Amino acid sequence: MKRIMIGAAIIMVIAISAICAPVVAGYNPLEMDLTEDAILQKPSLEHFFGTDNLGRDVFSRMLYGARVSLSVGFIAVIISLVIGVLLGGVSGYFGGWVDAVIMRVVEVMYSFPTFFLIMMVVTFLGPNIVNVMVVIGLTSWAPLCRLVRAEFLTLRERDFVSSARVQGVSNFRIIRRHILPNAMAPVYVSMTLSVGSAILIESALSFLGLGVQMPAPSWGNILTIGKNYIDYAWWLTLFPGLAILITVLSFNMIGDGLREVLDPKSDRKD
Amino acid sequence: MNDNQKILEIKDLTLRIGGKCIVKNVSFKLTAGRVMALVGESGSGKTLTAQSILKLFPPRIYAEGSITFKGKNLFELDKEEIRKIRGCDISIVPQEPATSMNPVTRVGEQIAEGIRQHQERSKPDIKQRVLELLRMVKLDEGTFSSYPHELSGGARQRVLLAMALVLDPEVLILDEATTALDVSIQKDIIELIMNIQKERNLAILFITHDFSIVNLIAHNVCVMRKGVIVENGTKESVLHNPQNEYTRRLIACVPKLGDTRRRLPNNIS
Repeated sequence: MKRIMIGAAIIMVIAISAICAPVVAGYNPLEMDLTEDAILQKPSLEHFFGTDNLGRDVFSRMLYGARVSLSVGFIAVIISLVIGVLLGGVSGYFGGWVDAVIMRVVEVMYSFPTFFLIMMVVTFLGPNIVNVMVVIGLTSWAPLCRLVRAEFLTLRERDFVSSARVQGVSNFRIIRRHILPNAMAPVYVSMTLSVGSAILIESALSFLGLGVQMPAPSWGNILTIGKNYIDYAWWLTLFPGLAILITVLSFNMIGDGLREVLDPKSDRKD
Repeated sequence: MNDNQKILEIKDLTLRIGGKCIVKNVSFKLTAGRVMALVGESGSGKTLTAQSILKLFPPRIYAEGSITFKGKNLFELDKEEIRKIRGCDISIVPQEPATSMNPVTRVGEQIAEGIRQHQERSKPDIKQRVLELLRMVKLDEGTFSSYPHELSGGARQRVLLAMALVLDPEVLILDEATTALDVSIQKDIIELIMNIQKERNLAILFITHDFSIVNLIAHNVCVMRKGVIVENGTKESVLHNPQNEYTRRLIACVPKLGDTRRRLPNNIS
């Protein structure tokens, strides 16, 4: 429980400051200042996280970058949730050849190196934030699909499902009202954990120049600039790196905490 | 009411799985206002017989014979048609009150499930009907918003009864519905079922292995053994003048109050 609270608090702080970025930032994230004493400034009270090679305020750029990271994380996960729950549910409930077909597709998805698949698709479709979200969503539903299928397989044999069937409740209604609500606990856990990994993938893509395009800021492309100056401008690498680390860690903490709270077999309730 | 008015007739029901025959040539009929008890040991095919009435038997079972409900042969109906009969015309009360309810849904919602599926009715109308049923099974109206885990075993069984009765079925099948309860609560539930049965002129198929309950509730008795009906008749004739050796042995096993000489053999391991 404690872990969920800590993780959620950190995410809340990041999310709120990202939403209120124009108020909190203090600088326009795109505004350049190429004078000698404005570029590559060390962190100071004026520029909390210093400035980059074009004299832009890194703190402001990171706040706007947080918008990118969080929205990619959430929207990608929602896309994969819809696909995963739908296919996993159909697969687990109906079984038979439908199940066989869907499971083969899942195996194909599993056997692809996802990151390279994403890189390839983004290269074809053009690198922008919408494509990144959609592609991450479309490639990350396989584990969720298996999870939901497994839950459905056990739940459909439960007594309360057969007693609903005895009452003449239709398949669709049984799935929606009786099985799905009981299958959601592990789905929530897996969802929070995948938000973290979606953020990581987005940062990596932006770092490689396949995600958010400069001059628009994202944590990944601040790192790209940082790598050129890593010898003397450590703040360009450290702060975005830490931001990614802390965000992903917080989501993982929420996920782990949820798993323990929702798992009836675990008695650790910290 | 005419006692010979048959509602449901099972004729020569035979169920096979693989090459093995698990229920053989079972025939009986249910009439409105009468309770038929189906008695037999575990594995005798009682439950399977009951399930086959609503075509609920597991896959790969091959069924022969006919089950006629008000002139319709249920075996000839397609999936959708049989689904409309389930709950509306014929209801089953399941055996296990602990696991037969959805753990994340409130009791009132679960009772209302049948109405929502089969009829178009307004929300307050549905709630009205559910509260009426809760009163009928002698439960507090506050039960409406409880979750199943908050109820006792007896209360859960009452809720299951309410769920089965929500659409006014004509036939009620109770599959060992009281077996999971202790004796005093069993008695309450049996009395409740008897009252409702008289009030609504229900045809009941009561599956049990307990002769003391048969004695309380049944009008007719069928005794099943290894998939075959070995004895079929009125309660009086079966209980007091059993023709079949197996029935006689079963009845002899019923413990009687004040029978002090009864003892467990010492050599039971």
